[in-house]
Amino acid sequence: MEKEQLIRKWLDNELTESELQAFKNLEEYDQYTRISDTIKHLEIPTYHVDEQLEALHARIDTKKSKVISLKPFLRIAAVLVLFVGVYYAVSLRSTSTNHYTQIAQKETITLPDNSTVMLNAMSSISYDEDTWEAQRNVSLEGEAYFKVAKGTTFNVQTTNGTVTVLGTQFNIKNRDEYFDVVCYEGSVKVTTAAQEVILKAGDRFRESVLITGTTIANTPKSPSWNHNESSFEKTPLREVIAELERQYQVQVDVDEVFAQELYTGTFTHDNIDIALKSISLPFNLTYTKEENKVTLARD
Amino acid sequence: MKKEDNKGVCHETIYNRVFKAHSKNLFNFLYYKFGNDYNPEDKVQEAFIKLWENCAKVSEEKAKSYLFTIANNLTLNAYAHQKVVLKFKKNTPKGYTNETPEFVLEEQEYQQKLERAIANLTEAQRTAFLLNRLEGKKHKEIAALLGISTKAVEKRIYGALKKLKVEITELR
Repeated sequence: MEKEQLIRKWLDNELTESELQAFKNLEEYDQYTRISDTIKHLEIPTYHVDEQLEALHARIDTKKSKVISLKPFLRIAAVLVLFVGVYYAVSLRSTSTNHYTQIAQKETITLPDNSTVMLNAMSSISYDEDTWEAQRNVSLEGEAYFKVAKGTTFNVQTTNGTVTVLGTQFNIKNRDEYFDVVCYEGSVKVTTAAQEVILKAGDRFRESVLITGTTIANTPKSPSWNHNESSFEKTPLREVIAELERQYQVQVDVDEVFAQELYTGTFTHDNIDIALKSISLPFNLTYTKEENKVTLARD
Repeated sequence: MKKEDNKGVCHETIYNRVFKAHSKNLFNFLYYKFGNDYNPEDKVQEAFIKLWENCAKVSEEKAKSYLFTIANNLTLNAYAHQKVVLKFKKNTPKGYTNETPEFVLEEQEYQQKLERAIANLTEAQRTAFLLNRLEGKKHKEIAALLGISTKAVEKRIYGALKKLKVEITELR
């Protein structure tokens, strides 16, 4: 049988016993089977038919609901409702101002009274411009350093508690279950669900799963992240790593055993390798980096 | 979702049956032809939405070629005729352990060469060839799926294999 014929039949899985033997004797046999075997390792995404069908129905249903025809008087009513809605949406939106930062990004914002806020990575603040004169209220998610101009009471609301000041400089870090306020000048009042504390310059208040209480801050002038570093004092490694993930576009994997341990030290925001060494060496861990994935482990 | 029933695929049971019969094949077809950069999952969805909108005009028998045409055209609109990227798995399953570094390296180089060679195939060749080698589909099935003759399928697959062999040998 002709060679080409053999190969074509092999490709269609149609070879008989004797033909298969002939095919195996071909000079190209190794090359062809290697191509064929390697291709079986091609990575193709699995298609989940049932999930996709469900998603499709959802899409069709929302599409359909958009084209319900309305009776004339209903149309007028709908237009009116729309106008009222747009009016409220516009009037509400224009008064609330939002700022937010992405991974590895920092931003300085000047508030209407010339107070300044420096936002660390993955953080956001919002405030209401219209009522600003009467009430200086800012909501914060994440970490920010405030330099507050003198004036009426200044409130920073976070999910973990409220910080109240008259005129001062302070840093707030509010991340999930970690709340950390450092006062650099003047005094601030911290109110959480559990307690109320007054901080003087150089004081630090922390509330987290592992540590709670007031201590003396180790950076007396301004927070280290203003100088492109993150400093920690007896901070759970879990939070240190969370901060690293905010400063670099990486995902870090570490054993839960080590995540609980406390870390004191500093890492830079400019060089990921040096930063990873600063974190892993004290724990006697080694790190491996593959694209955006970092693994910390003990050998 | 309900529409007036007639000869088309408007009835939900029929429509779902069409989806179960063709969506996966359509997805794989788009993936082999255009690679992952053109969101094949979404193109499948869009094609099926079009089918729903025109359900009265398309019979169950015609649905497959209707869907393939729509999804193909949708992707072609976005398609920039770049090199298609199809990657091999990072850790191929091992039948045996303790491979020497040389062996691992050689294997990786071979995979990269093959990746490039596959990208250099024509779209028609690549689609037919991967349906055949990767999914183990018979020539006859592929012919029915793509709406071409068995002879044409055979020609594309054989042509692809020959071309891959030549390219890999040349790159050595």
